[in-house]
Amino acid sequence: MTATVPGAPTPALDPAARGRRGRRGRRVRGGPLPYLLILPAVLVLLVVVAQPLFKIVQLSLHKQEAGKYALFHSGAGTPFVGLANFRTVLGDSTFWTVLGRTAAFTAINVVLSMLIGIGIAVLLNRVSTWARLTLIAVLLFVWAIPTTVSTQVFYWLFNNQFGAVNYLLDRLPGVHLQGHDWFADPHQGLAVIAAVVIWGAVPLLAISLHAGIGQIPKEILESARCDGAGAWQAFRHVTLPFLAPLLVILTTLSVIWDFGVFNQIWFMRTGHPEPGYQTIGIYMYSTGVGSSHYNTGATIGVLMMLGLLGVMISYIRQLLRIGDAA
Amino acid sequence: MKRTVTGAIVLAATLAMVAGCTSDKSSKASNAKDTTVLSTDGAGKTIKVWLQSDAQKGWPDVVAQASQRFEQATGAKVDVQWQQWSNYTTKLDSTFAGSSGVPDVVELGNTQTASYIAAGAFLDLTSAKGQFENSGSWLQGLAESGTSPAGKLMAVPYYAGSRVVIYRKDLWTKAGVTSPPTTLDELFADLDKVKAANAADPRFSAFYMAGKNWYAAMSFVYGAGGKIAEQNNGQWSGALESSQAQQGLDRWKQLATKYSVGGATKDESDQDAVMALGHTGAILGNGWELGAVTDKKTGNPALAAKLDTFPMPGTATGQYTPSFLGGSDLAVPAKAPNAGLGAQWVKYFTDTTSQTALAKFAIPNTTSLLGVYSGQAQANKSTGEAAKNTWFVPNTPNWANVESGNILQNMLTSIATGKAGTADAAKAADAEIAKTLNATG
Repeated sequence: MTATVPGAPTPALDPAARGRRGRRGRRVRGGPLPYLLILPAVLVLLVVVAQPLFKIVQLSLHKQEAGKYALFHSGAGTPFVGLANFRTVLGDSTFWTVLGRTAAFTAINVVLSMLIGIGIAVLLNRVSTWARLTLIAVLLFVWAIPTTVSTQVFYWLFNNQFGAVNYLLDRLPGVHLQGHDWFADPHQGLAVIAAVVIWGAVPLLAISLHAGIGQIPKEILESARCDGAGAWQAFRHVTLPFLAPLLVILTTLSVIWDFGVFNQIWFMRTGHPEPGYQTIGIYMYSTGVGSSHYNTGATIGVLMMLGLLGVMISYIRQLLRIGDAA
Repeated sequence: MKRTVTGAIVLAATLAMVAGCTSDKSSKASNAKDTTVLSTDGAGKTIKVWLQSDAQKGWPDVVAQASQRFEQATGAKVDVQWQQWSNYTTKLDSTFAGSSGVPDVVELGNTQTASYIAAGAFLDLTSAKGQFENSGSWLQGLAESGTSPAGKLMAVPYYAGSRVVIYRKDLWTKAGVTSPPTTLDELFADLDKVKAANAADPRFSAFYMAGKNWYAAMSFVYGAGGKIAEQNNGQWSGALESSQAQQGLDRWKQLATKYSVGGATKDESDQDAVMALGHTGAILGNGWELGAVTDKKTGNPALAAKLDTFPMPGTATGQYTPSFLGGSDLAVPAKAPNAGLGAQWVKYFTDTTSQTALAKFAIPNTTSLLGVYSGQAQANKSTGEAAKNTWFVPNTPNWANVESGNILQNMLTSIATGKAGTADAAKAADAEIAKTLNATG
């Protein structure tokens, strides 16, 4: 954010001066080589991103009239209906309930995972080498576990009859959780799911932030301490400003990931998420694919993309800004 | 990771639609060959067969012998790919919408066939009907589910199942219950005794009933004289809020809440594993689930001598609570690359030899072999009895969407967890059922 941090004390690299000398500029812009080099990537992106994106927008503007028949044969009977699908989806109160739930679920996951991530990152910088290596190894193990597996493990942990969580909590004085069903109330169920999501998200956040903290010049922290700053003040006024660009990027990425959480909910509810568990990704899938209403599903998908576009723009701007600074 | 999952789904749906636009030719081509549906010209070819894993767990040898005879007769190889019921229709949709990877034979639940027949997904087998053995005595319910409204044969009956009470005879005897109940009131009185005798075990279910077990719940609805939905002047309406249906739902709720522990938010798919743990007095299951409960790998063989069965009693002596006539059909997809060979495999797999072997495990597809089935074991006698009084889902192409939309399961789980009263839950489900069954797109 504050561009005063890393590259600032090098005024010699004024971009205008650099451009005039043209040493780098000519090599990058001249000749077709750069375009040839980027061509394969562009082609792949066209096939796997642009084409489906185009199809999904197209789907959202058409209506499938003859049910599955049209799907299995030629696709006849799918006239252009303009924004009618959007009106239907936006006019359905379920969509807004689902959207609100998704926003709250995302916010809680992002805030908690960022806080825990920062906490572990700070911890990593303060413990002895062997403790740090052990912690990082454990975090990498967590990162390596597929969501399908971690979800199943949490599902067992929270099993109402034989789960370890109920067993342990029940041992506490005054707590009676034997046989408690965590999934009867969607709020509790989503809290369990949030635990899996956060558990899976923390390693990347913690390790990235740990690396970020490692980049802060020791002298600055030392001089802050010499000037009488306490641990909190040093963190607040030195560490945080240095980490700010990284924090923005990680938060943006977390928003994008947590907004689209699918596996954890899907597997925690064994493929039948109840209405109270429907976040936007699940809603899109069960409406679009599960119930064969592909046009409605595509419409929800387009709306979801538009919603995330704002987040992505801030992400890309931040990336560009860092690129400028470096 | 999370992002790619959503992306992949979007992509799959999109590709499914794209492919759907380009595959008209193949279906027309296979329709044109109607006169010679069955083929024996299989040298060097491999047919792909999608069967549900029920067969893999229950009767793999029956599948193997049919494939062996088929391979000898045609020279083709058989590649059986085991499937799961969960989200199966989604897989079928995306496969049928595409033009490659279409199997030559698919198994379908008899509640799912109507929507695919209406969508023209299957090869018309009418002209070959005479070549399928026992086609004159096929079980009526199964044969109907495989026939189009115009009377064409689109899917061949495979097997049926009816559900019975599977109970722990040792636990019931210990609780003082020595003979199976003959009415529902007797059943509940017996369950009270079994529950009281095991009150020390907080995990004990006198009757384990999963909160999403709609097959069981709807049996009580039909048993009380209710039904799921009805059609008047071409319009469907949900019928679960009728007083009879609610009476049935309340009976089920009693089982699911008073006598069952721990299953309120689950479906019935793991009830055999639950019973194998030993804290369960009874379940409502298909006859072959006995084998799953006592399986060496997934169950508990020590229970083998302790399990017995009886048909779910009805409101009066001599009556049974109607059982869901579950079952499967086999169809040849219209776009199958080796449609003729696929139909030929179906012929071997549903002939008298195969069905006689299958009759050890499930109700065979023909009434002529019901005697073989009932003679096998006590469980088969019970399921055979239960199969005499059955119910079936509303016969309309849109029914599959009621199932995939989990409408009944959501209603039941909200009743079982106490989130909603029976009347409110039934009313909400009726509205959704009407909306889904009357949908036109």
